[in-house]
Amino acid sequence: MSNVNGHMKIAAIRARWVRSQLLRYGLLSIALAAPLALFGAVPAIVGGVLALTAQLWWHQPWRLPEEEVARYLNQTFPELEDSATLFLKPTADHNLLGTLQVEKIAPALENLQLPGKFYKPLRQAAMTALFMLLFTLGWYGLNTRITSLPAGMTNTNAPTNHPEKVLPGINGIQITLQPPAYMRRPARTQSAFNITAPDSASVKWTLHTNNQVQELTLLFNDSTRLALQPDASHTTWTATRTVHKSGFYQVSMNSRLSELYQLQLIPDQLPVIRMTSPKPYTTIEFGQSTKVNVQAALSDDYGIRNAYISLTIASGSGEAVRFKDQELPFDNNFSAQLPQYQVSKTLNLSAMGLKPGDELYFHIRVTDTRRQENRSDVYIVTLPDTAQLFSMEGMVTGVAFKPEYFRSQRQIILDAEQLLREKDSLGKEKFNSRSNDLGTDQKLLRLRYGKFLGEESESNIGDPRVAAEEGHDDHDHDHHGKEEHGAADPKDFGNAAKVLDEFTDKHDNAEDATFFDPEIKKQLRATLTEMWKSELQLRLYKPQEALPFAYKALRLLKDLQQQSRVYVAKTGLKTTPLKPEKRLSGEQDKIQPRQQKETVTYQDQLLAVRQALAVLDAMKAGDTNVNTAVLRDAQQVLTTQAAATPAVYLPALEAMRRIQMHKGTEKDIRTAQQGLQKILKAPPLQPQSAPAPVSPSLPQHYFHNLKTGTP
Amino acid sequence: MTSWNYFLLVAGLVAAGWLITREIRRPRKDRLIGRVTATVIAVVCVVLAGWPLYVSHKASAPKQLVQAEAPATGIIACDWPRSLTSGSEWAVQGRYRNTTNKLVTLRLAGFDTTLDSAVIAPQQDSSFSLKAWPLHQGRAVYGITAISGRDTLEQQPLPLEVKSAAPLTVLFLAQSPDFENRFLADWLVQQGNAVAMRTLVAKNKYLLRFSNFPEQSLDALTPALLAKFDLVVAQGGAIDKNTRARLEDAGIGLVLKADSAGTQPRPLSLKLRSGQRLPVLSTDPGQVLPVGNNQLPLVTDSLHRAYVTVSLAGAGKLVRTHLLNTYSWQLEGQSAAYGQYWSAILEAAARKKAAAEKVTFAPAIAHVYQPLDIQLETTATPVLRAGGIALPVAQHPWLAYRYTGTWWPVKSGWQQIVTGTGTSWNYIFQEDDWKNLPVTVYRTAAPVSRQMTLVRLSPVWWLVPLFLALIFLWWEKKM
Repeated sequence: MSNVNGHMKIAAIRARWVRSQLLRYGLLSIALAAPLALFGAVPAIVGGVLALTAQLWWHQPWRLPEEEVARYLNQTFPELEDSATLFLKPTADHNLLGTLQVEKIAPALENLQLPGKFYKPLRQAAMTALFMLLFTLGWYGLNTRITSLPAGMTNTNAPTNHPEKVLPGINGIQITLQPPAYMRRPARTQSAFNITAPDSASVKWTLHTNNQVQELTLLFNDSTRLALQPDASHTTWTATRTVHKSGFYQVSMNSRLSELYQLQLIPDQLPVIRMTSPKPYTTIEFGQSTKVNVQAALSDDYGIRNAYISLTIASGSGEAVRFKDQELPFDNNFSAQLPQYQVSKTLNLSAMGLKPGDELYFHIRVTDTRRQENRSDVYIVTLPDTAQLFSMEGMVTGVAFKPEYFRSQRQIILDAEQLLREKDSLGKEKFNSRSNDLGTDQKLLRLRYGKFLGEESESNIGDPRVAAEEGHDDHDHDHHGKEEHGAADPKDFGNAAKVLDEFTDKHDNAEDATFFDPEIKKQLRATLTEMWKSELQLRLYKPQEALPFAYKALRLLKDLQQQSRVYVAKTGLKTTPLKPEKRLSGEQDKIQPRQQKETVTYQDQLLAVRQALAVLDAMKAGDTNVNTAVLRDAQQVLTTQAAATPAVYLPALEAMRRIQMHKGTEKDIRTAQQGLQKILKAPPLQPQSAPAPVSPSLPQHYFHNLKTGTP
Repeated sequence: MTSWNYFLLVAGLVAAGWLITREIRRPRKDRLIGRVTATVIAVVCVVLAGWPLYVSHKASAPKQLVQAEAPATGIIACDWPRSLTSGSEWAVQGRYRNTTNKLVTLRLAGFDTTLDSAVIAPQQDSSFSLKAWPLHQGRAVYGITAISGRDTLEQQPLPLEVKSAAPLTVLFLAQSPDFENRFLADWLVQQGNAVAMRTLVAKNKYLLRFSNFPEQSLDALTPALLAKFDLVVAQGGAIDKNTRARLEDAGIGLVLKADSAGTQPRPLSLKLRSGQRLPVLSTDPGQVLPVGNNQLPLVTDSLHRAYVTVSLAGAGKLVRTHLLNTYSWQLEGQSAAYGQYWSAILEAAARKKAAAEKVTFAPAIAHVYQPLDIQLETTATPVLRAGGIALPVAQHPWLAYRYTGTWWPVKSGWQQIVTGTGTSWNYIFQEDDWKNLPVTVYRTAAPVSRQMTLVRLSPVWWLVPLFLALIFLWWEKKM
């Protein structure tokens, strides 16, 4: 019996243990979630749930075996005499001693009070959670206090959207805005007079009056009138107009005028072209693919109607240049008239008949659904003429500018082409070895040019000892060669200078480094890069692939050569014959220097507006005797501004009109002043002399007396 | 609460927490409550000793019957130019005494538009300077408003009259044509100023330019010819000693340009005397001008080396400049900076504009129903009409051209003052405008309120319980 009770007691303690563990993990999750709540509810919930799941998965508190509880009880309570495990065994398994022991400690287990230490982890978790909650609340409170501080300081000057005034007698309005058909937008109906509509929209006014009205008209800012048509009962009036310009209008009912209402149009923007490929200026080297891929992104606010590539092929040179125009459509289908298109087109230059030396100019033309056309920048693709590189013209007529180098590069190209032609008749071995030889030539050439850049030479070109080694294989050249040279001359043994010279890494020579200006060096470096690439291909036994690089290197060298030459051609020039009798006489009687005369009147265009501001200020102070001419001029300026941007200037114009009719209130004056201020800029700064004291003043007396020395 | 208080609070809480934990963890548990209490008392005392605490202290009522002077609050000083030429900057400067515990924002507004603002910290007495470029032409009333949160504490009118600028007449004398003169002349002419230019191109051959100025011979610079100009811009070699003496006698300004701009120019950032920064200009910093000894620097670089100076020369001014390539600002499109630079230079040199009459008012802030002294300086017969009333004027005993009259304005707002040759305007303030402006206001309040002043509690008081608590802890440990 006591065994069962004891077992139940242990089970109860285990349940309590599990509960307290679960509660602890819950509290710890809350402690983690609390600061996350500062970022919003979602991170807090997600973080909390994740933390809880992770802890439960890791610890799995519900798996606590009862043996563990018994062991804990044994350790904590000495009165259980290390026998709590006995309760867990079925009574049948007990031997006599076991039964006696169970009987003995059963009362102790019954009266067991769990110590405070049992709940210590729970208390700690609760403290942590409480601290985190308080911290979060404090942080939140501090944060809101700080952010709420400057809120009171901000200048709340936002324009208030005041309700528009409607003429008495009109008890209903309905304005239908029908955008033009090409926009494919639905019609919109509004019940306010202020209109913001797409460009060229058709506006239909429907006004309901409570009484019969004789006449109802709309007056527009360009002084046109639109008479509304009545229905049979003369209470519903309609009119339609297609608007093409921003402005404002008034409703006139039985010759009573309403306030001004704005009519703002949103213009249809031009289509936009963004070219992604090719680059603005493309050169296709000989041997490269002659296909150019044109890619562009087209966009418009309503829809794109069509797009073309306009091509111009320029062939020939000098006076014999010929142009051929052509227009190609894109592959895309524009019938859907979408606002966005990704277009691409591959131009096959050889199919279009472009020969080396020709140039292709092209641009994209896009038409939107409003038939507004926009075109891109002009892009240029050139096919350089390789034949010209071989012309001896520069050498023959000009100064010989290191001719051997150019000959070498040209020779490499010629040899490579020759090699390609003989490829079939040569064996593979022979072909590869000749290709490699060409690569060596290319390397030597590159090194010679590298010297101009102050580059370190890998192998001493020009050194007679190395020249003798030229037949060696290139790979072991460096190490092998140097070792041999080290012991070449017995006389040099112990010659410190010689040894030092051999092993010193001689960095770029200062003289070499300043040999050319940076621009030439840059170009030379580009040439060397091309030579590198050419050499690489030659060494890989691919003379065909090496050719484009070799050609480019040759072209760059040629450019370099042309750049460094200054050649002034002789022209037939006739100077006026000198008159020796007139020379050096020093007489200038007949020379009349120019006299410049001008009169410029400076007039501030906005002077009337500036003065009107002051006049309105005087009116605000109660002055009635004001300059109305200034106000009239200012109103004219305001009218032009309001026609362009009614949303900004219309309230001011209306207030100005009321002021002119002596019906303006102080609020109107303020509105008018604000509108006028928006037109104005600060006037230009002008030097200004300071006012002097009235003429026979004390300082003047002092000065006079000081000068003359008499009092 | 200040940050110090927060710091103190947090430090105290941390210390108390740590000490209490230590106490609880101590093996000896007897007198635990007592020890914890003593620890808390000790920490609290240390915190309070550092915490600025105030007690209200009743000041005894003043026994003698002298009126107490209470310092005024709000805008206690303010000044601004009453009249301005169009295009120039308008500065409103003054002092604000903020006795509240809140930030106060000062706003300069014209025609319901905020033009500039400044913030005064709580319990601060600080000066402010607000700037604006007035857009109007004529007379208008701007306003300065002190705002705290949503409450308007003070609102005062700032009357301002903007006049159109009178054109200058400038004579250029040059030994060779150059860009600097050409650009400056073009800029001046464009704004309606008159320019005459004489440039030497060969021996006794001059290139002449007359813009907005009648064509005449400039070969001989006679005093009569020079008197037509406000200003002469010349190179050192182009002007002789006699001409300079004539300019000094007549009070005409001279802008003297250096013959060479130096040989090692490098880009320098310059600034005007007003503190206005100018764009970078390529200048030789070796070519600096001496300052001091009545030479006032007009343009300096960051090291306070002067490149343009002004000094008195007779009745006029002499401006020396080493900057000969300011036209590059115009080429760079920095025409605003160009305008600011040359306005400052030419204004410093220009001859003072002679006026037939001059009217001044005292006090500067005239209130309605308060006497206003009007001083008139004229050589003609004195006539003074203010607000439609002819004022009798009294002549100064020694300065025969100076007359004074007193006027009692009965209307506020802009009032016209008519003199013999012209009219001028003065703004008469309402009775309750600018009440705080005198530095102190006299309190005439009959019921003398008892003064409650806050006195800081001496931190020594907190040391007594601190020591008691520490003694207890020490004693307990020895037990």
